[in-house]
Amino acid sequence: MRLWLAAAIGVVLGAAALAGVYYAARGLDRGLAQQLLESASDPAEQRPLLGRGTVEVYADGRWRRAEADFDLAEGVSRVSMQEGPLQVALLDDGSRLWRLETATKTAVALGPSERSLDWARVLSSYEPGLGPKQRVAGRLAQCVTLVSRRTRRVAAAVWVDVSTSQIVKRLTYDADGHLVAATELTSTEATPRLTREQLAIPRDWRRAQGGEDSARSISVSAFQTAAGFAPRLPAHVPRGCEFVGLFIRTCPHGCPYAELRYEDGLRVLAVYEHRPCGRGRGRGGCGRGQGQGRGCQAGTPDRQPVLIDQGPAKTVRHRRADLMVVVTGDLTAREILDVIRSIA
Amino acid sequence: MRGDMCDRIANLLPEYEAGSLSEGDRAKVAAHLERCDACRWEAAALRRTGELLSQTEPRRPTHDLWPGVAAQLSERQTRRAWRVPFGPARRAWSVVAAALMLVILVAGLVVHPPGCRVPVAAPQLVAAADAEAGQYARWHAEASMTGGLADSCALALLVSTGKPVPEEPKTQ
Repeated sequence: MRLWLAAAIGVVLGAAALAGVYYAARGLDRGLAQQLLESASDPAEQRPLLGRGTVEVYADGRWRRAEADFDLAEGVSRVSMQEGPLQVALLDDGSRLWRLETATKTAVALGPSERSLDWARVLSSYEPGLGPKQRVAGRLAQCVTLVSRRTRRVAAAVWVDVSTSQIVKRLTYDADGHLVAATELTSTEATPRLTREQLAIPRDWRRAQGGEDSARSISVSAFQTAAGFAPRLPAHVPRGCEFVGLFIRTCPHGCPYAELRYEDGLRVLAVYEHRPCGRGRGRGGCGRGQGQGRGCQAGTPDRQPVLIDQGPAKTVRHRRADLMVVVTGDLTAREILDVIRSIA
Repeated sequence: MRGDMCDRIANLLPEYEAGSLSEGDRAKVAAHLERCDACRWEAAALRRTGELLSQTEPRRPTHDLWPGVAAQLSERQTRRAWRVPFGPARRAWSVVAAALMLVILVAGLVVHPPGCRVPVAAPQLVAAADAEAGQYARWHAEASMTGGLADSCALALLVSTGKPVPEEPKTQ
């Protein structure tokens, strides 16, 4: 009897000690991971790093792969990518993210710098943790993971170079745990001399506002006036997703789309709604002339939501008699169906 | 007449004759033998029997009995082990093992609380070709590109189609 009592007390104390050690270690991990990611976003902590690498993204059922040159300085970065004949250059000047169009000498603003990170929002939906230290492009880097609190899966993993605090590798996973994007340096140049001025947009380049129709959130009434219909909000969105705003998008033929945007601190959930407008008929339009697409026109209503694209995010369409609803987001199939079915 | 005292002394007589009694008991038995004829006679009989036994040669068994005895002992121990599985040592180990298993179970519940990985049947989604699908993916990538920790390079690649920028340039 005394033996069993001692064993029971031992079990309780052991479990309490184990739980204490686990939570202490997790808290320590979380703190260190957060500190590492903050240092990777802090120009004062960063040191220049030049390198070559690859950028891969899964889209349209296949992997797209580009060779890339990375010029990473203190608070500024420029990445030049080459995918066959396609060239894409991105510049993050610390305040804004730009796409550089060499042919037209134009810098197109895409939005605020990716370095601005709302930690409170991230931590509400993701649990940061420390992964192993690994060598990336011959440099010692610390892996930091972000695990979704909703799916309990790793959503992203980044490797921060220990000596320069630059991110040298990123892996992005979808809600089902599949790898959907990978950016990685494969070789680096030691102790480069790289300054902010070298990476600045040349003075003779034009600066343009990209995605101007989706840059500012508008009110429902303003949208209704512009588009002629009122958007319907989903009654249900997954836990952690917060409404960011209502944006107006226009397809290449000028048809207005409502974009209801939600964020969970890291990922975006977008609901697109559109009334058939009859524009874009024929082969040149976005309607019947192009395969099965009926984007701007009325079509046979879908009996049930259909998956029409699966890349870094799933895209599910539900064409109804008077409204076409499309939901795009990094969600599981069940979650995305719950969202689209909750739209009355 | 034999009384209770005689019975007690009779029980001590074999050891008394063998010389293995303590001093106190030995004195007690000796004092009683001086007084009691019956017990003295019994003690003498015991002594004679002992003397007689000491004169006889030990009889050796005709064959080795030990293997049979050992087999019986082994069988009995085996049966006993089945009947009483928790000997003192085994019981201690069993408690330790049970405690460990409970600790592991509790740790498992702490690390992965139940309900986190409840498998759900994936709903049927019918993949369908849609010319506009790329457009939604690009819009979504544009919206996601500037989020904190987003892989802007991968998203920029996703957005890029090699076509010129459709929007009007606007000098800031």
